[in-house]
Amino acid sequence: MIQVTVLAISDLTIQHRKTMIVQNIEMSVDEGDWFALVGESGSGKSVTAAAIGGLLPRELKAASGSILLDGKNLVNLKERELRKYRGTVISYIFQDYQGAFTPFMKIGAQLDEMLRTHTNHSKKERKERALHSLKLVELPEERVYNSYSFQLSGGQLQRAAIAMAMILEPKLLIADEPTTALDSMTAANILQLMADLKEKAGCAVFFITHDLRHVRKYANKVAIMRNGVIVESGMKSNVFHQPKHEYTKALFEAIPSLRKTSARLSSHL
Amino acid sequence: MRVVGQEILTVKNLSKEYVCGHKAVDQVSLTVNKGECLGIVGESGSGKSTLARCLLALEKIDEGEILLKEKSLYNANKKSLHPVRSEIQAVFQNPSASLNPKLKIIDSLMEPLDFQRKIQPSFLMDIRNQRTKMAERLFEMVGLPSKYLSYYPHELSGGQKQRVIIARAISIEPALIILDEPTASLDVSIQAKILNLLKDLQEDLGISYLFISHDLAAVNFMSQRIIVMKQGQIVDQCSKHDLFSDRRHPYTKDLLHVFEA
Repeated sequence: MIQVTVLAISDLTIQHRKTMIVQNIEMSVDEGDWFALVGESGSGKSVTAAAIGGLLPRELKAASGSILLDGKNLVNLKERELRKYRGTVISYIFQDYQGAFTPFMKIGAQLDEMLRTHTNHSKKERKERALHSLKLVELPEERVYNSYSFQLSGGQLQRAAIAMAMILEPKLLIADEPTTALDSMTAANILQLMADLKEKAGCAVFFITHDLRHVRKYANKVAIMRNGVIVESGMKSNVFHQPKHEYTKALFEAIPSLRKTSARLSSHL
Repeated sequence: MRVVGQEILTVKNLSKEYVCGHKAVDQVSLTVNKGECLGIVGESGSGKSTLARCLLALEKIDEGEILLKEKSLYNANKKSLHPVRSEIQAVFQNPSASLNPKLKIIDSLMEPLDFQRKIQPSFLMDIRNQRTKMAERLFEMVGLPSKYLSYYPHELSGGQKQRVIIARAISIEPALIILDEPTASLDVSIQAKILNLLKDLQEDLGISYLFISHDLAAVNFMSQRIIVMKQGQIVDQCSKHDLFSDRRHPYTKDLLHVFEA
């Protein structure tokens, strides 16, 4: 089977004035991949994710390198051009699921707005498609369609955010710490849902986290980032079984283990 | 030396229903012994934080009994709570919300000692009247450089702020500290450091902990006994060594499965 590359980042450097935030990073995500970018606060992982969709804050600039999405370079593309990609080819979900919806409109109306902007569907088709997308994320579709965001729980809202992100069948779903604000059971369910949707839709997932535990089950490729540099990357099985970099090893050791309990956690980071 | 067996906190049949009719805590009974860490694990909405708020007398309870060092907290009024308040402290998830942004760190840190003049913590006895010296010693205990004392909260990282909160919680040498998701907003490496610090302090000072989290692995690391809550009720409890026993409640097994996946 020929692997189709969805996203190829090469030699990307992002600067804030003279300070390097992200330095010469390389990564490539193929169709069907679950690519995990792992790092701590301040490592540059969210900045990298923002750069892909052209969501960098004004003070940050891509100083060099390229971000190829489906072969088209997105670096320094005009906002008007970028808008055609966001939502349709790339979509995002974030840690802050409350920020995904405005509290002033019902969820259904916000899904409808997205479809109205990007498709030529009739009103009836749009409603059908919106309901279908909510059903795919295992929500009670009629009720959620008619609800405001504050009427849903955290886990339900994140599901609705995933429904909105997936409704136009993007090629790349960027998930920036999607489960960090959720409890562990809900988080496990959300990750399973993302995995199922990925299989059905055949898209790629670009998954950002600081917790290696979330990477173990679903990712097939991993990159570990620290201080704006990728210190180690490769297939998950290699990185997990034979971590080469000291930092990767330290990240594993900092996580409390259920079976091997020690008096103190390793904290050589 | 730790005296094992002495009950610091006793909760009997505690229930709390919110006005909307939602029973957040339903007939919960538990005890925390001196020098022990009792872990409570559960999902969002399982009632673990409401339980914490009831124990801190921040919520009125509907039914049941709370005894802290044999003194009843049951819907006590503000004045009679005053002496009890110095026996119980709390560390919450969001350290930024626990520090007044307009106060220098030293002023937030020293508030309990400034206002409770009678309290003589064993580790501050020799310098009880020297405010800066006490602050410096507290900072030393939690591994912060004393230059941060004159900073404002926004100049500190999340992990540093959480250390300040921990220093403030231990400052009056309480019998019990309630730790409600103290590391949920921190990176894994910072979490490891904070959990280690909490363990060090517990061993040095003999304070009891009630450690509340949805992270079973962290609860297991910190606690000698573990309680599992679901929909306001205790569905399972065991000593740390029996966590993998076949007798565990199906829900506990589900939780274990999530963390071992």
